[in-house]
Amino acid sequence: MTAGATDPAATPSVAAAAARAELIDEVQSIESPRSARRIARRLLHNPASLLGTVLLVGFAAIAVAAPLLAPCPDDARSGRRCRDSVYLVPKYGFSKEPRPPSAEHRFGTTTDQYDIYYGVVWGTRTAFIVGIVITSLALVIGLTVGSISAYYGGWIDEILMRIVEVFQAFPFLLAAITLATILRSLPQVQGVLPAMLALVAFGWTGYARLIRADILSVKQREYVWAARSVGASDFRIITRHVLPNAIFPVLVLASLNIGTIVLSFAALSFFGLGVPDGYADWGQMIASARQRVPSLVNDWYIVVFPGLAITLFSLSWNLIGDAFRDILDPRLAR
Amino acid sequence: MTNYIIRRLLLLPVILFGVTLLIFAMISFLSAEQRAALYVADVPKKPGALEKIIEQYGLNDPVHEQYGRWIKSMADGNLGFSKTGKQPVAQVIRDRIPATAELALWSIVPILVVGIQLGILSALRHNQWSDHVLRVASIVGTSAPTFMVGLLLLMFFAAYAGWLPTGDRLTHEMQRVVDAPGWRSPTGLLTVDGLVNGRVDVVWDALKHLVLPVATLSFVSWAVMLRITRSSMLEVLRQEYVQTARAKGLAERAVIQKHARPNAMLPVVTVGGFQLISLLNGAVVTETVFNWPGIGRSFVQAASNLDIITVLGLVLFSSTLLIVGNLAVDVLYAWLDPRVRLN
Repeated sequence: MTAGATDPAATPSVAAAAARAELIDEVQSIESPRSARRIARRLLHNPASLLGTVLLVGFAAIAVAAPLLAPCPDDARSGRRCRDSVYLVPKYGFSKEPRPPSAEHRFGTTTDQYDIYYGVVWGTRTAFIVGIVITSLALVIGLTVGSISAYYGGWIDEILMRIVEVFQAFPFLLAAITLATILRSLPQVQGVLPAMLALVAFGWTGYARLIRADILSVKQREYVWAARSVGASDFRIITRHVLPNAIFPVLVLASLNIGTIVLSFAALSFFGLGVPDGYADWGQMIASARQRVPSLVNDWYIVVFPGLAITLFSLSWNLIGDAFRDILDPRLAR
Repeated sequence: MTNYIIRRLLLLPVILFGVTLLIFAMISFLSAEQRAALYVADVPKKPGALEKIIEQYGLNDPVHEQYGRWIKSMADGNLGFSKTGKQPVAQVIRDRIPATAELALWSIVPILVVGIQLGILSALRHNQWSDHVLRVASIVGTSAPTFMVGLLLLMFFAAYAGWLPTGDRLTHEMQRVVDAPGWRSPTGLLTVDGLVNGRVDVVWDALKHLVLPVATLSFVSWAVMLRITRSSMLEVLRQEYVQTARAKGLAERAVIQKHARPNAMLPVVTVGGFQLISLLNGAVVTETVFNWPGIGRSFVQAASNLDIITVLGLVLFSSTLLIVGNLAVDVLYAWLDPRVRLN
């Protein structure tokens, strides 16, 4: 039923489209916020998605309570960094030997003496911020391009969809690493920005195609014709009549994608492209384990604590997403 | 369908053109000095040398002229010079492809076998506990970051137990055997070349080095195969021809093997194809963790040394491979499915 699946011109690949269409079909069967409430109730009855929800609420609680869970140390030297910004992990000395978990450092320290516990707790905030900001920006671009493409059709649609295909012709992670590397060499773009912009630049295409397909199906409805016949402007028709009716499935899909985005960001951090040194970020903490493979058994805490955080975080989104697909798939309901 | 394939073939150059434009746009971010690496291996330290090169290769000319010159230079097989590889980028690709291909080809086997078998099992036991366990396991598989899986495997099997090497493709002794003159290398795949040269010890050593990276890649990819097989199989099992087969009294085994499974394999073939293409594009994370001398690690090395010309050259190569590979998989799909082929 989606244009993406039936209109070969719009698909870079039949099979990829088939796989995507499966998901799109499912998500498209939700049309109103009212059925969303019903779905929310069912999500809480499924053990897997209940677990996902509990995990997610737990992470949210940690993010909110971060100042209580991991306060900036009073001691002047180690607390210097986090008094500037709470996201700068306190550094305890200059030794290159990581320290194992102790009373003072619950999860130990990394090779540069950054406190892992502090990094994991505040990293929860980073994960939420990174995931939500990247997804929102990608959504805005995707929605804009997709709605223009679908509403005007014709050669505008043709050109915009070719542009989407060009972006999709790049392997996602490679493209993101490339752009992040280039952006980092510019003095204007620093800190967390390069990695986030890179993930946005190559992450919007899916939303553009999805909203385009949705709009194409909404566009033919009577109320759109009605609005046009009373002389409403294009902009008004798109923003007031078409988008509100087509947007819901895309929003759902995007929010469930946050776990994947955080995984990609962690990979960039692992390559040293995500955040500056000593910033509270899960991927970045693990990165310091790369040089220590021979003695990794002794330094297990560098990998295990932040790694567990990333895994559980993306697991919580994926558990909810999986149950979501199941609930919405009429073929599996029998 | 033929029309569709023809349309795709016609669009192929358009998309490739778009890809080169986008890459050139990224090149334009670089300084003239960095861009010099597109054409010359090294800028001499002499005063005035840089200006001469900028003049000679028109690095400050209008953008469209520079683009034309760049495309022409690429048509001659020149992707620029790699500072980190200390050789032309095209040569980096030629040198590194065998390592990446060997890893990809060995990894695709367990991914397909395990993913498909478990997917079928999951579908046949739909909503029973084994189905639930497999689904949760596959979700966990997709949630774990590759680098963590790789590092944990290294930690246990290499650093702690000492059963397997911590990285690289061969031990030093075996590397010397391979580097020695007289070593025939028709494929570049060490496990195959070892057999060609009759050196079982090289094959064994190469296999030991493959185990952990292959395990890492399989762990993060089999879940995708499982899920596509499962949903495809569930779909097929509801078809009327399956019910007919059951109704005429066929044994359940025959129904599954003769009627359901072959039809359920169609989407699996294409998804498997995509997996192989993305593996051939270099498993960046896995190659980095295991110090595997493939395309992916060259890419990361170049990126972390700000050797952007190399990075962009490798990305151009990967995207081209992806575009052509996707098309090939689609043609394969059309050919395999009589409904599409005969339409």
